Amino acid sequence: MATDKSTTPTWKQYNRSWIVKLFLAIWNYIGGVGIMLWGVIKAIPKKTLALFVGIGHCFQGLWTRFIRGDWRTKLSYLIMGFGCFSRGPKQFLKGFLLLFVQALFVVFMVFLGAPNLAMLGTLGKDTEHYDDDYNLIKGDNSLTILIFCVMSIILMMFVIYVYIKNTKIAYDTQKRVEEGKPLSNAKQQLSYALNDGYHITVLALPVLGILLITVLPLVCNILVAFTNYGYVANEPHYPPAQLFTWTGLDAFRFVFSQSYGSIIWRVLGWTLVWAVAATFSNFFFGMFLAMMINKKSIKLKAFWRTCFILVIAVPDFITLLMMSRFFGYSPESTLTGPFNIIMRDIFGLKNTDWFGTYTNNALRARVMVIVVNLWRGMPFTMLATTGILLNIPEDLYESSRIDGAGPVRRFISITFPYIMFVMAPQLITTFTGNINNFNVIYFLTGGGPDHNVGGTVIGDTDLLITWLYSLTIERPQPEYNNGAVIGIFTFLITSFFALIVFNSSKSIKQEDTFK
Amino acid sequence: MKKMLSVLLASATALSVCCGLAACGGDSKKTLTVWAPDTAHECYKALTEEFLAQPYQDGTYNDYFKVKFVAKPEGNIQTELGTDAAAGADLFFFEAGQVQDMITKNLLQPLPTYTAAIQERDSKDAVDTVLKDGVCYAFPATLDNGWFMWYDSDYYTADEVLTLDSMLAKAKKDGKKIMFAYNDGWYISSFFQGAGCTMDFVYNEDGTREYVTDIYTSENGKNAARAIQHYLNPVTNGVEDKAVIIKPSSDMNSEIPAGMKENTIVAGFIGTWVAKDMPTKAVPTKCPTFTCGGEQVQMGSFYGSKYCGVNPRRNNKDVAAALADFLTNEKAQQKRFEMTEAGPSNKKVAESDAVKNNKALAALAAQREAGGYAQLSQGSFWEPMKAFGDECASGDITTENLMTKLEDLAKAISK
Amino acid sequence: MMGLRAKRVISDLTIYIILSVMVVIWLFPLLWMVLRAFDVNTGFTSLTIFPQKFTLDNFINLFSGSDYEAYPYGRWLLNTFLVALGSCAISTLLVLMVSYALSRLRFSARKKLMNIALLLGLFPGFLSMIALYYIFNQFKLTNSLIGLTLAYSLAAGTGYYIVKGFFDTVPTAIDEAARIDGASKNRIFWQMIIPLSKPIIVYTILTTFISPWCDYIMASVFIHDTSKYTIAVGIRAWVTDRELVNRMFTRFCAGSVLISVPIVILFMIMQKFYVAGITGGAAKG
Repeated sequence: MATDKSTTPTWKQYNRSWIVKLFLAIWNYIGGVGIMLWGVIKAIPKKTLALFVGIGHCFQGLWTRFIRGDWRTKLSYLIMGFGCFSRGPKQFLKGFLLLFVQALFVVFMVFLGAPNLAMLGTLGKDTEHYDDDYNLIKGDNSLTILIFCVMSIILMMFVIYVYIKNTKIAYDTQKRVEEGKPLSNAKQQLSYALNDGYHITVLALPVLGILLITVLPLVCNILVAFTNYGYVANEPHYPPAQLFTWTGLDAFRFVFSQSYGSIIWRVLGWTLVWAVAATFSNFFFGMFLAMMINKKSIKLKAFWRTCFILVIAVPDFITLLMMSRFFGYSPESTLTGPFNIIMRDIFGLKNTDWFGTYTNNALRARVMVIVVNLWRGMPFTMLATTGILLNIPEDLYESSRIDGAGPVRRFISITFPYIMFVMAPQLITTFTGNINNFNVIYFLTGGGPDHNVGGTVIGDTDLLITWLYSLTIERPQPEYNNGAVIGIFTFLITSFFALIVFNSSKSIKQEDTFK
Repeated sequence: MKKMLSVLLASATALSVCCGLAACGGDSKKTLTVWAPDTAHECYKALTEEFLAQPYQDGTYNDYFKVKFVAKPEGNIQTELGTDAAAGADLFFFEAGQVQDMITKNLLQPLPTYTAAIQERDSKDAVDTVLKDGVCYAFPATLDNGWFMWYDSDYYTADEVLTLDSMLAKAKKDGKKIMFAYNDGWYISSFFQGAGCTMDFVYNEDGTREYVTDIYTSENGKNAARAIQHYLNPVTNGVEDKAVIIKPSSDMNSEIPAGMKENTIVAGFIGTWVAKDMPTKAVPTKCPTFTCGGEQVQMGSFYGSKYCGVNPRRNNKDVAAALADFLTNEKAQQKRFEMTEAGPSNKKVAESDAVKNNKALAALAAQREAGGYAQLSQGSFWEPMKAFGDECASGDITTENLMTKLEDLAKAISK
Repeated sequence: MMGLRAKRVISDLTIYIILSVMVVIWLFPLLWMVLRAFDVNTGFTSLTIFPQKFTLDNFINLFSGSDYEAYPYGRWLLNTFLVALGSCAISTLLVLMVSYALSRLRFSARKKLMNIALLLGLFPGFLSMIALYYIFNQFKLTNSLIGLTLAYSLAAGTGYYIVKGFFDTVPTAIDEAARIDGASKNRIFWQMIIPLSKPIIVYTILTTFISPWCDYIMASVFIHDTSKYTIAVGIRAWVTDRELVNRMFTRFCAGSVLISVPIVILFMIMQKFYVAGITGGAAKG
């Protein structure tokens, strides 16, 4: 896979045994990950050094520009943009934009940033309480303090960057004036924003959105893992009623060695089994389905395809809730679900608890979620594979026929490797997606059947992600700190697999050679 | 393509305008939001109209306020309110089990001005749960949150339903089912209560709480666990279709009446709220006794009130409290009983003939007297109890590992 | 020769049989849902597989009836539509912008940005939901449809992957020619690249339009008022709430059928582009 350089492989290249190819591929992956990890580790000292050197350069630059600058440049160290707008109306746009950034920053820091940053150490000191007349007196809210601190720090980093840029701009403008070159006017500056600096123009809004919606909450939540935000040692810590504070690695200790120590590996184990089973069952069955439909002699291709696509077109919370009901069970035969009624009336089968949630049967529940996931997920693979099948060069089959290969041989040597060739990176993406496949589990079994394992109740079909959900959102006493630890753990697991994709994904590596 | 983009942009603008208009539309009246179960809406809406017609400042409440009802089940209010109480309802109806946690999270407005009146008019059982330091934290609205047994009077005689053993023996012989929600801590803990175990949360002076239980340490607890294991395990109870004691598959409120009509379920453990769906042959009565440590012991059951609380994080707390008072006073409880057969917590209404003649409420009272157990405050109790019941029924818990599992149960509850 | 032909007929026949059986299995649960939507018996439990008597009441009750105020399905429909429309507009715009920048423009932080976006996608989404709720709360954007729309759409930039892949396949010669003619990068983007990318834009619009109809968790955390619910949050309770399922199960089916029909149609349109996208990716290898 990664070894093939040309985009249209020849029959000879495919004529290797597929087992050899598979091994080669796996070997490549593992090797690749190793190289990647080694690369990362090796780079750490160098990068750290580079970071310090970079910071040093920054300060040096700041200093030299300050020394060499005239009074206008020097003043722009205090008032951002001064070096621009003090040099005439041509530079007003640029200068006032910089000043505007500074003004916004100052306002934000005075009203929100500084008061919250001051409490970062303790995350608040006044607890909410009732006064003597039973009016609720507001206290500090640890969570908003945390959020605004992170927000301030992100903003500070941005403003420091703009500040350094500002001194550079001021100095460059001064030099241009000294050298007698004309200064750019507003129109030229705008034209920069639409040409050489267009990436900033286009990316500003999306990046701001991502910072606000994804990065900021994420950083906050990673920090929550180091607090006691939850029900810790028989005491509630829920803002706004209570405060929470930093507790170091206590939550990690709680999750990995104390209460959840025995079950987190159990949940991880099932999560991986589920992800492998769900991914590969969908892949293989979807592939065979697509091959059946796309066989040349089969008529009504569009009809067959549409039938299966119908299933995935309906929103999944509907189909999954429906399936959980469809397989419903009760020992009382008049109360049992429709599937059991069909089985009884048509095939004379015994009333059975298919999902195992009624009889607490872990194995049945686990098999059934995989089966229903197959029902739901197979059409996706079928769709993707159809596209690939149509794309396999016909001459590959021609030359194989000349070599006297039968249909099985053709599948093993051409169709399957070709599909693998295109789908391999996607397969691993699907795999990481399945590790975090919340909907299927949540809507089908809700994580159940439940068992008490050494003092902690855990569902047999609970994935890390559904467990995290039940710990944080469903509980009357949510354990946000432990949830954050599990979230970080889940991230590490998924990123390990994502690293593999990363490493093998040609579309990232070779996009430039492609053009 | 340009057209398409302009359509996109236009629709985005239109959307924001729409939403903006929707947000600022409306008049100067303030809105009070009430979260109540939808079965009670009709009754409370009528009462609210009366309330709004009362004088307030220069006119009536009607001139200043309007009231909006939102359907919310009473069982989950503290989680719903927990994320962002300030955005929640002004007043809300909830079950007793959440009281202590809601007090800790400052979700209930203390009601010093109403405390005396509440203590005067409502049953002590209902008031005690919400009393802290001599102040009431919520208005009792009903006292019917408990369960007992309904049995098929065509099938069982009144004598046969005195002990669980005789009921089971007969049902097993005829292939009939008894529905008992052993996958629910609210029901399965019946055996522990019957055996005489202690299990409750105790709140210390400083607001920290401690769970006090002897279900693992005492002989009573061990006997109760043995009894649960005995009654539910697949050998005595039967597997899948053969099971005698069955749990609901999704909704016992419909499954018990349906099963009784079909003559397949001969007894069910549930509360007053199914009364209107039950066939006439279904008779409510107190729970039977069960064998525990060689003796016959009465099955216990939780009982508790439903309350109306006032949100301390909203403005207009005083008006909300006045409305809550109006929706839970004697007249309101009388009306709610008449319209939905809800059991009153008001002493006078409870004494009235109509209530006393209500069979389901009478059975509830009898069960409360025989084996009632004050509603436990919600917490880590329910999930492990559910798992314990399920594991007994599936045979995961055997006589051999019973004690370890009991220890796990106690551990999980008191975490 | 006859043997070969017979063999082929048999193999085709087998495939037809397998496909028919599978289609029945795949579509039966959906068929059951559609039929139950017309059932007189409103509860979940029923003695027969299919309804005995049919009625349109379940559909009528969605939009009127005594408890419409408590379960305003029509209002939820409108809410979801508005949210979907808004988030589709914003997301599409953001995704196109990011994809263009990452595909066509060369700047120093480009590779880093791409890696960071991939990394961010690996964190479980609702890990950050509680914090996001509080952030939005500061801006008074919780319990509001605008807030929900922004929460769905503002981070759309991380999903640049497919669109960027498509832009990569548009020959750069077009840009270069336009540059020589003196067009700005801005103009190239809006007037050359976008018109050439119709399939992928339609694909993006459709996916971003459909996703709010399917989301449950985010909406359930963000919205408290019944009148501001989206469809998924509203009707889920009808089937999971123990007190409601007996009255509402068939209404849930009716509500599901009603929203599924337009979504299925949109999805059918979209899947053509989906296949095209995958095939395009395949050619790229």
